[in-house]
Amino acid sequence: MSENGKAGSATAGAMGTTAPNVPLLEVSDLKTYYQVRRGLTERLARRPKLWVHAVDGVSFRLARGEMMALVGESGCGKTTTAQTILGMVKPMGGSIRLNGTDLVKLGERQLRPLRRTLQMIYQDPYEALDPRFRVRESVEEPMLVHGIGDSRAQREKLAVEALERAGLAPARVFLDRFPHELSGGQRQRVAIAAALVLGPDLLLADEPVSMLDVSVRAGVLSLLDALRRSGDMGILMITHDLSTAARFADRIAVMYLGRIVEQGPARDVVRNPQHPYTKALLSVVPKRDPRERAAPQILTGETPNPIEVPAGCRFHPRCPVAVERCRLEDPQLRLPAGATTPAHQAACLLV
Amino acid sequence: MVEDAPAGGGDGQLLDQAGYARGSDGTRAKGDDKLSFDLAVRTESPFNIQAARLVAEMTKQIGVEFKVQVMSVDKLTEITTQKKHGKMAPDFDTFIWGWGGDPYDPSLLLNLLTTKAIGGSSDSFYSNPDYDRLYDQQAAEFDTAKRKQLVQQMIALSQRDLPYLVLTVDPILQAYRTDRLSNVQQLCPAPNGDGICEQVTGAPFTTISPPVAAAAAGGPGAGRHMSLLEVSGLHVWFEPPHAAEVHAVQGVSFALDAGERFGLVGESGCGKTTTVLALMGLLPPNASAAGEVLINGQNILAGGEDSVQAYRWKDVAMVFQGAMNALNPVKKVGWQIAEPMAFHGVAQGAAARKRAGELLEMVGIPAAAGERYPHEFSGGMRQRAAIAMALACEPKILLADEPTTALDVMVQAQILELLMRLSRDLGLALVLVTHDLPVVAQVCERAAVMYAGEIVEAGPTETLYHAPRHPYTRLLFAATPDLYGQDAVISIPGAPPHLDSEVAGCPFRPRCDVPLERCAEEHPELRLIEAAHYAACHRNDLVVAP
Repeated sequence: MSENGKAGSATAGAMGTTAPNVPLLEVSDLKTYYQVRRGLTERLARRPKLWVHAVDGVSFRLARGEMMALVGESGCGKTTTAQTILGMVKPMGGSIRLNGTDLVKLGERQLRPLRRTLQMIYQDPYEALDPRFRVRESVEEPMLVHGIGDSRAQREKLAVEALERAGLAPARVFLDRFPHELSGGQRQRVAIAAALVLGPDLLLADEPVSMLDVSVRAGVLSLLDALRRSGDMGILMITHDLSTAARFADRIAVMYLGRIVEQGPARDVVRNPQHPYTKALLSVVPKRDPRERAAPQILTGETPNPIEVPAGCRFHPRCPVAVERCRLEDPQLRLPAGATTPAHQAACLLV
Repeated sequence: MVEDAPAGGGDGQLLDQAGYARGSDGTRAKGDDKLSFDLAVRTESPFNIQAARLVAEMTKQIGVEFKVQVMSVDKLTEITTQKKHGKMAPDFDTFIWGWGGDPYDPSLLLNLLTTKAIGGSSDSFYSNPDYDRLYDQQAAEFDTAKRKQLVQQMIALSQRDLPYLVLTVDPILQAYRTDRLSNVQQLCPAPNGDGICEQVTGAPFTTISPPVAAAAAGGPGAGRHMSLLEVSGLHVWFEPPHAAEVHAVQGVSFALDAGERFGLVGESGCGKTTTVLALMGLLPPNASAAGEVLINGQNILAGGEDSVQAYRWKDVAMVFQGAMNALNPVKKVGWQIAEPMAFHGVAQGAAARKRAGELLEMVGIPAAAGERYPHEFSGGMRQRAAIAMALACEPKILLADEPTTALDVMVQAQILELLMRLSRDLGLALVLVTHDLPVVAQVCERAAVMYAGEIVEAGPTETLYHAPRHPYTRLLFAATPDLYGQDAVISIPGAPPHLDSEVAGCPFRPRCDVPLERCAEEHPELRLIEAAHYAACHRNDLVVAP
């Protein structure tokens, strides 16, 4: 399928040939802040500008054929990271290299041809699809936007291929249906097909299954798994569900308050967590087996306000093992002593 | 099994085969006038033992002697296996008596004593609910010799190549012809305590569900023991203006005691929320409910919707789905908690405000926060406030509908811990409605799995995970990723049926990975599998010999 999906040879040309050692996506020291709105009186009173530190120095790499999960509580900056990569939000600093090209430095016009290589799948397929569009139109629209397919017939052929790749077979049955005639799982597959039709290199999936019924989640996740295993694309999955991340991702990055506090191969992060936050998070994930009722290590309170990030280690106010040093020193990601693989990193002074 | 009688044979021929087909073993003399057989019955089943003894007694009059042997399931299985492999102990002459149909079904005796079933048109039995009259008629028609012949036929069937015999009127039970042992149903004691005689002569076919159902999920002895909450045979149907009636809840029964935590799980649209809304009497105007909801023995549905109002919030309270978004944004949280207290006359004015503060403290929010507005609360705090509000009138039963669905894992853990603590400290009976199996596994002692408006399996959560007896339960667990799970996560194909028309057979059959032939036609009833474990699957009538 890669012939049609990757009508993207033009894209590759635009970016120059990709060296084999350049990762698909390389994010380094990404910073995205939102300014807090000030009222007129506050501006007249010259109150200082306040910033929400949504993403505050995030770095990671993603290879083609890899699935990485970005996990964390709401407000930790997972979604902002994805939005920044997509170019929906301008970062304050850092770089986003896609196939070696820094997207941050590109202007809107230069970015446009690259956008098709970056596709997003949203949480709610009920909202992501236009209720008045037939499946055919939903899937063909991105092709019209990006000028793919010379004729209607060709676009339909590509749409059918994308739908079948997304697991909606036979696709012709679905082409003329409206979203309300589809089940939640089928809608999400249509949304995935609309992304696939552009032959993306990178798929960003923001909570792709959390709105779906339990019984169909596995199917959609397996589809994403198969897509990245085909080697055509890398997938960055954003989720708060550690069980899903553990089962489907190659690597997990745990975010807390705008930073990645731990990352590594999924197996190592889940079975050999190093950062106290990861440990706490894992301990509260409900297990399927009622006999595995481990004492959950429940952190009190919620993620602190990202406007005033705590000094030192940003996790120290909630950390069960924090020491005096944690108030002063901001830990960086490094190989923890307890790690069993060099790919494992944690940002904690005590590991 | 009935139609499987060797075709084209008259009774005589059959008898010959019977006849004494076992001659090869040399265990039974040919042409013996007095027939004697061992009848093996499962130990744990007082009802079956009783029934077997009755059969023995009745057949004795017609010259067929059954020796009732009570034995454990293990022993029974062992015998069947041995028999299957031809390693039967020579001196042991047993046939296993299976009970395929419904437990109160007197058809087994009819089978033994009438030709109807043997003759093939056993359907007529099923279609005729008037069993006792039928029984009388049939029994009167046959003389002793005829009955004896019948029993011989039955035994002949059992001894052809089959290692066992299933006696039942149910034609669909032909499925049993294979190398499977039918499961002898374990039964709750009949509610009148009189046992089988009364059942055979008196019980109409349709009365089977209430006693069994009331005991469903209620644990052993339910039916006599009065639980705090007893739901039995709850039906809810919607009458949309221009469409067919939708039967959203179809005969749901469960019971729970103070301090118990009970989970109601299933996919969306399976009737979980409708069930709990019916308990609250908060169904929409186009919905009707029937059945019994007993709180401390009082039927709150007795007078329809209106009678529920006296119990709502005071006895049974609910935390609604998305409750944290249902707080009034322009009223202070404390005021919103105090309001229902004033409405129900629990407390007024300053006393109500003080109590609201206490409730907030109880759910882990400082009392002073009652002076704040909902938008100043985080999601977790709003959910706690919603729980505090539900507890305002000191209910005994708390229904929580997806209380943690929109929350983060850490906040979810906090809320679940709160619910567990409240249930423990206040003796609250908690009904947790969720699609999230792991949440139920961690919080609840018992759970019921709902599908298409019915409970398809109920029991201790441990049993449901480790030894599910309904394919839906097993598949739901398999579709749920586990943090440390190694097994493949598989989705369940298809979708639940629409409930606007009657579903023939088992509603789960189109999605089932192990359907039987009979599942297409025969609706499985919820039956007791073992202590406090119920399932509605025809597979449970089969125990595959090891």
